[in-house]
Amino acid sequence: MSDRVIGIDLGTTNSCVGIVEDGTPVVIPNRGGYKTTPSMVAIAENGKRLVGHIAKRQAITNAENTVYAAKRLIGRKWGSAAVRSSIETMPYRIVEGPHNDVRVMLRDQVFSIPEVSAYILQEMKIISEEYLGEEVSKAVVTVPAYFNDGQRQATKDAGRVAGLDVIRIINEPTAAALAYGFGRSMERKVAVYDLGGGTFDISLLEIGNGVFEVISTAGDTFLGGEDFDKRIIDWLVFAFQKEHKVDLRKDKMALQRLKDVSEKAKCELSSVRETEINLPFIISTGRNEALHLQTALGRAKLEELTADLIERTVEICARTLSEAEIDKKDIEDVILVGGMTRMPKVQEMVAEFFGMEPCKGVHPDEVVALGAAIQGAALMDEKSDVLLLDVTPHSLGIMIVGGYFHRLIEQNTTVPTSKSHVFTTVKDNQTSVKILVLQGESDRAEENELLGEFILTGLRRAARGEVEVEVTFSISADGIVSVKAKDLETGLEQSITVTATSGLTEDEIRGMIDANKDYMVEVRSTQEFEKHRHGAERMLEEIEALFGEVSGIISGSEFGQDAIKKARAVCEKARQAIAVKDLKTLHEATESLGRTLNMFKGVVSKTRAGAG
Amino acid sequence: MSVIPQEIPDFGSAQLAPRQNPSFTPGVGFTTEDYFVWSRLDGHTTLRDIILMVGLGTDRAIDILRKLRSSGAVLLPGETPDTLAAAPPRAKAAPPKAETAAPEPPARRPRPSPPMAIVDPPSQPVQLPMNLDTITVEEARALAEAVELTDTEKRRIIQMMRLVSGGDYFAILGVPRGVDKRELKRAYFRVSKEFHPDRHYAQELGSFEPWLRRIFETATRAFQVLSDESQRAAYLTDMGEEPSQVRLPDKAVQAAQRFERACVVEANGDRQTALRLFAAAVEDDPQPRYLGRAATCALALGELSDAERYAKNAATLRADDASYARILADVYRAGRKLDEAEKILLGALALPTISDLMARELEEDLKACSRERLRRRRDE
Repeated sequence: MSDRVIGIDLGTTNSCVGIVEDGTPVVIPNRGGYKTTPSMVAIAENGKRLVGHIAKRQAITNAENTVYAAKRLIGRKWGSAAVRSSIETMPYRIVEGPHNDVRVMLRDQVFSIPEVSAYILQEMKIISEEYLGEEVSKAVVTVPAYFNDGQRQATKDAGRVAGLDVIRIINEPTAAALAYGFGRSMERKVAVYDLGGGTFDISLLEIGNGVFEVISTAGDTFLGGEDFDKRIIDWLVFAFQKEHKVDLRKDKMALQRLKDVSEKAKCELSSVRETEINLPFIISTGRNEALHLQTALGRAKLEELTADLIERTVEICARTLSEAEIDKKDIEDVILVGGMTRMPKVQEMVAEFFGMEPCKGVHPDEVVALGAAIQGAALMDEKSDVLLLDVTPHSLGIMIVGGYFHRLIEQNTTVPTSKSHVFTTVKDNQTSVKILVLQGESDRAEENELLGEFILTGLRRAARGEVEVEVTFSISADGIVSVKAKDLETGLEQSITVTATSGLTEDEIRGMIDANKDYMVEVRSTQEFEKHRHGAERMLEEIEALFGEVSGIISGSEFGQDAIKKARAVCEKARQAIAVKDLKTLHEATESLGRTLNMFKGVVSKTRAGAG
Repeated sequence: MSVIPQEIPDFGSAQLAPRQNPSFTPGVGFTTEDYFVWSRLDGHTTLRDIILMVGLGTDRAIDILRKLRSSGAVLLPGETPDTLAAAPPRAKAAPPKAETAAPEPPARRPRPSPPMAIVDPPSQPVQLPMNLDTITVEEARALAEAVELTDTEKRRIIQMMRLVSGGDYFAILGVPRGVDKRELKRAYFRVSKEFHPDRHYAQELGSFEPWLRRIFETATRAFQVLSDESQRAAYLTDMGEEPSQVRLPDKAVQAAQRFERACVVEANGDRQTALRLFAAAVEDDPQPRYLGRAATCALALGELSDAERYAKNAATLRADDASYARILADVYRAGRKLDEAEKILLGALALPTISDLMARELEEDLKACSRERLRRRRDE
């Protein structure tokens, strides 16, 4: 097994995988030659799992059993706003999981979201293994900067299920900056504007001599390309309703088609000024008649429909700059990431805000995977010229009296880091304290994410305020949070390592890993079988073509007859092995076929030479 | 390239590995090249290798080595530092000399101190004096550990840990006292590049693992303090170096201090004092965070008109943050203005940016409003 680390950009709509080869980061194309793979998983009628392009190609006809945009659901709780809106708009069935988590139901089979993501990661793993010709077990996976711990943990779990050790989770914009600055000697501050399928992130970084320091990162988890699509869908639906008094959103098939056509129109409008939207037989009226949707959408109209969305991204940029106390003038380059940044209006607004044309040197769809690969290689190579100084995306602290949140580690602090604070008891004769570990930006404890809790007992009985407890938070370079509470008088200590829950128990994850291993073996053997079958069939054809000639030459002798009999048996064995898909037998038969073919060729060439 | 002689004048065999004399202070007449050659002396690298690695040509390198030797900067194996060697406390170490072009400072340091580092171009590794003449038991044990580090790496980490324990932020980053921001950042990046825990990812490091972490965390802290003017001034005052620098905190800093104190006072149960402090903080710097806490504190004291004023201000300043809307709604509810409270909560619920958790809290608040309404109707 190799030490090579792949970098995976696990996107909302598309995923991409990269690796550093001989010091150069490259994107690995999939079997179809495409550099990105749709983040889609489907279960076909025969129960077979379909991933990527195949899943996308059948998405309309098998809409109810095709999962897309699983990233919007990963690590989320049942009943949350994101889940509710997904239930409304997604054609597949979203159900409640046993731990207040979210699952999807495809052909009566229930899958957790990390499992669905695992299938995509696994596809990326297979793509890289085919390309490299060796097994890959380690990966760096990217997530939006604003993912919380639960979402990050769920992504790691997905990696485990896929048979990948996710050695680091890094933020997408950070990865983009790594790819942008890799191998270039520069000292500058840059902004990464990342408008992807589902989320918007803005990050400010300082690059100097191979060191990439994240200064600040912020974003909006509910703002992305899909919101742009939605605006087009709403516009189409509204016009259709006005004309035909039918709400197209009520029909899942119609909705899927609307979604597809809206996304396509949006993309087209980045290069043309107007596009046709044509959806014949979009919905049946119930009297054996169908209605058609046909209209045109212009770039100006799209810009009008989505102006507030772009405006929102610019507002977030302005706020992030001011919170980081960085002047717009100090930003020397703006890197655009995500498919949505192809929209001319987005480029225009970004250029206007930053007062410069964004950098054109990076590919918005590939740059994140390249950056992940660079970080993977840098971690494995002690002498690497690249070092990433990452920050913690959220503040960490504990709940104190009054229900307030006391921050110990502020948002955007460089990791690894640690911080201590001394707290006192709040009641007379208080013998224990409960430490609630929280993450978030609100001053009110209940508005922040609860990461874990533990109790420090055995405190001395004393008047309130007398007993002192020191609480220490630390975050490691890979983002693992541990909290320690210490009674300063007795030295008693309690500590926990905070592991966010992904919505899955350890047992469940193990079960999924096992189930998936079988699948992996199956995929591998299928691939190997196909390879052998291909070779065997070619040889069979060649042998058949020579059979007549060879038997004419050698059937005269007893030895020759024997050889022909043997050759027939070898061919028969190979055909049977192909028919029953027996890899082991086929493997043996292939070797025999090779020998037979060589013998045949030898006979023929000798005779031909003798005749000539 | 000329052949390196077997014998180096003033030194002896080219196979000898000289080290730096820790009690030697580089002074006038030292060039960057001298520094550079001197910095290569680690007690392991042979003279021959040093001459090869410095890339100055054999003759030039030998000249410099001889110059260093004659000025007492170099120790050969078996030699000990002279009687002047008693090292002063590290925390008060002298600033390293910057570029040779810079004029020599008129005031001489009273005592010789070990040189800590020099400012070098960003591509150079962090420079540390490599000798470890007197090692502690702990360090000796660490040096003997079978870990995935070379001996040089181990020694550098130990050396850096000594600087960290000394607490001299300038020495840790290897910068002179008057360093500018740009150079400071370069120095921080340079230290990070050598000592960030990721440089030895997934390697067995034993005792060195927590040390690396501590070095990086301290370097980060040093960088933060030194790059902030007021923090740097406070640090220098603490170090006893710049007592004259009495600066009045500006309004924002003062407000921040008041706010912090108010939070502590409130946690200790004295809301009256806390509210006064919050009010003063808000006066100087009306930021939403301060306003929010002031409003909550006023609400707890029943000062509804103050609470409403603060909460309204906060909610207006950060209309996209549901947290402030909730505070305002709480104030309205306390003042029996249920319609207003509901309106505010519904508005917050419609914000596109709220988290799952916030949505749940807002819904709970709305439910509480309608329960309140029912109860009130029953009472009437």
